Amino acid sequence: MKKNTFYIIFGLIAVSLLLLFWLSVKLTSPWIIAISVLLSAVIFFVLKKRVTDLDEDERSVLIEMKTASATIKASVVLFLTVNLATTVYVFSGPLGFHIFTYSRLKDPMIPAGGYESIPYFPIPPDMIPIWELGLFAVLQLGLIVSALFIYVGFRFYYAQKFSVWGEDEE
Amino acid sequence: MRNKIKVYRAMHDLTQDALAKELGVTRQTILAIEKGKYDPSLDLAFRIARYFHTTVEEVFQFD
Repeated sequence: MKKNTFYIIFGLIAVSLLLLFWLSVKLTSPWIIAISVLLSAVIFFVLKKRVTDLDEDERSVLIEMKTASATIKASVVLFLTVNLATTVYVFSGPLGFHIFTYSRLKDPMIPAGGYESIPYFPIPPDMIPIWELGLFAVLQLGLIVSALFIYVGFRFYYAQKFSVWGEDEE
Repeated sequence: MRNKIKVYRAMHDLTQDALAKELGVTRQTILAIEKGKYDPSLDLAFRIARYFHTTVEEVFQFD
């Protein structure tokens, strides 16, 4: 496959992803965009391997590796920062450390009757089951833990590949 | 690391593009090596030396 064909297909995939994202929002179905992104990534890597006229040598590979490494390092820091910060925010309400409220008309029939503050969560909570803590926050914590496992997994793989544990033959 | 690729290229009347094609790398890689912005791998260093029928030490000098 020619390089330009690959770029055109990649562009079409990107546009399709945008449309699928909108469809996902309209149908309130996160699975559509989640599966589409995973499939697109697989298609991207499979197609890239089939490109025959890609100008790639050791220098471009090094540039790509350094860029990927720096991007991942920066992303991990950003991801951890935002992830932990939002998790704290989501946990503090249901656990009763902070009262999150919203305003509601005291009487819907009398618009000028004033507003009252309604707490989002019961106060004080007797016992909070894990699914009420905010599934998204739990998912985020799961992502952090899985990222650590993925790192350790790759670390072992590459350490073994470059035989860090090779024995001294002397 | 300093190198004499530019000198050897001139001696063989080769452009950066022609040398890159002979070695199977991009022109930018030859340019980066000549400018001292990129140190080639051992494999590429040996291929460059072999192409000019000389030794690695002759083409590349460690500062």
